[in-house]
Amino acid sequence: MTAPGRYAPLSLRFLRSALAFPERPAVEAAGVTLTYNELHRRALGIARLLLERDPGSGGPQLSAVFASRSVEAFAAVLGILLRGHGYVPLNPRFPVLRNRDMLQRAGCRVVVVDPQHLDAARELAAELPEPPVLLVPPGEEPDEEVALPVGAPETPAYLLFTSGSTGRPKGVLVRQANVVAFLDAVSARYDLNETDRLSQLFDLTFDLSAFDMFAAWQNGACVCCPEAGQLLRPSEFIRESGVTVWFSVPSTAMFLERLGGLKPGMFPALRLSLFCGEALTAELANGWAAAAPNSVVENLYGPTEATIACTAHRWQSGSEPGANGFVPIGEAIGATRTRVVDEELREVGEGEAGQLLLGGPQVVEGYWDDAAATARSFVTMPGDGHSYLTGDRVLRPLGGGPLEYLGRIDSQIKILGHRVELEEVEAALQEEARAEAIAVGWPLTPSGAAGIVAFIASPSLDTVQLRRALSERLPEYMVPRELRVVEELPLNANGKRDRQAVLSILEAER
Amino acid sequence: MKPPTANAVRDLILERMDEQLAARGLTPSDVPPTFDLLLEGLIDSIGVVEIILMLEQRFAIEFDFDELPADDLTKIGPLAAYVERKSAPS
Repeated sequence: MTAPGRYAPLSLRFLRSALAFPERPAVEAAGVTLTYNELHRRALGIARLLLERDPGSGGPQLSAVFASRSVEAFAAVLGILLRGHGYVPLNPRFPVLRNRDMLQRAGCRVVVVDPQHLDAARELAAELPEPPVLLVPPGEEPDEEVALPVGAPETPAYLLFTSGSTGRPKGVLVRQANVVAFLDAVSARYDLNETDRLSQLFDLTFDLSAFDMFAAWQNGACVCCPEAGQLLRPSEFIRESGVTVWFSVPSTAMFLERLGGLKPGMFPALRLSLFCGEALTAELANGWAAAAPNSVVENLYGPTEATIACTAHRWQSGSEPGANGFVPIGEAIGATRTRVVDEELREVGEGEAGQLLLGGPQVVEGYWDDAAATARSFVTMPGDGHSYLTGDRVLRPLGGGPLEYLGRIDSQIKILGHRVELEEVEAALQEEARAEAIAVGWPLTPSGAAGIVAFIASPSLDTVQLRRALSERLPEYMVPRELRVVEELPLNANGKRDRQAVLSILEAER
Repeated sequence: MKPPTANAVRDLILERMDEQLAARGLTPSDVPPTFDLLLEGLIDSIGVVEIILMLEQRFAIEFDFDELPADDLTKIGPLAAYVERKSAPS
């Protein structure tokens, strides 16, 4: 445990646990378990190679990881941090073009690759003007003295890319100081210890994965990835892996419920159940609380720009939900400050709705190499300093109760917890189809999970070809489920072409 | 929307994986019906959720997990056949 107020970088937090609990499991994935000692040695091996291959201190202090969710991926993350760099996660399941774009924009000189993905990584790197070094970690390393840099507060921890409304993903550089502020906040709140086992259900490209890893590793706990197929038998995963802390997007929990995996009393060993990434319905929270009778259930909220999560609400089963039947997003945790503001950035009164503004040490400086996007979303507030305008509409409740989530002020939607800016999808559609297009989020199935429907004004369009082209540049969740070819894009009541007009058509078809 | 054939569903799923299949020396048409996307490492357990959601939304169906055993859920043949069956007008 780290005393609040004392800065210790992520690598040091891990090292303390590795000293205190060398033989305890640190990570389990794809049937392989590494103890703290084993993970430490592997990561040290990677850190040493990184220092050899990329000794320079100029340029971005970033190295990429290209691996499936395996112990190799976790060792790579830790190795990069021990090297004193931040990690840039690529995703083998993303299209080559997207991974290449992220790699190029990050300017990484080295990519740590797991052996299965070496060919794919070669393809990725080959067409870059300055191809990075591909590094396949050698596995466990003998103990040797390596002088490693200590991550300063301003050292990068990770660089992630989220959907961008200008048609291009936005980079968010999160520094050590941001993550450390988050970890101190959750440490105080959740009291994790070395007997805890945390579920790990996120790709590294999703910042919620950073909670699992770093919250576990600073407390000597274990990160548990479900093996192939295990998630289809969730009670088996929780039981066999001995999971005590569950952390997922609500969509995953909803899926488990549909699989019949959410029956009362099913998960007695869970002591903490955390949800984040999208709106949590009271119905689901109640169902989960019944399945995990010994568990605290919390709804967390936080954009990548404010580091993983920055508000939380402890749900009492059966209590009154907030607006729209959702569990409130609660109050700020740690040193985060929240403020609900109107269009002129004036705080709204109690009982009024406005945009949520976040301040404090978890808020990042701005977007990676994008001053215009930074200027749109980051502001300096008297009293709060550097702050992030979330684009989320929330209700400031009467009497200072927990904040309630209402929706977006812009056209961002969530798919399985992933942020999607509809403008980015539209930009891809218009480029590939060479025609005007409108994309909307729409519940396409009775269970109501949102997918994207696109209208394209190009009557002779080959939609099979278009779908293929989109799949080559967008992650699967951003490819529209339905591509509808029309003569002209629909108009709304004011004769304007907009998403509302498309939504009205879909509504009328129900 | 015209109900899809099992082959069309199969193509839709495998199309997005052709790079990964190529790494295993396969093209989409070589893939046998018993090919397990999960066990072969083409998707992980989160990927299963994404694919099922994609198929449900694309074909406006809802999987009934009592009808399709978990072992078949990730095998390309039974999965595509199930989507065809589910999408057929009743």
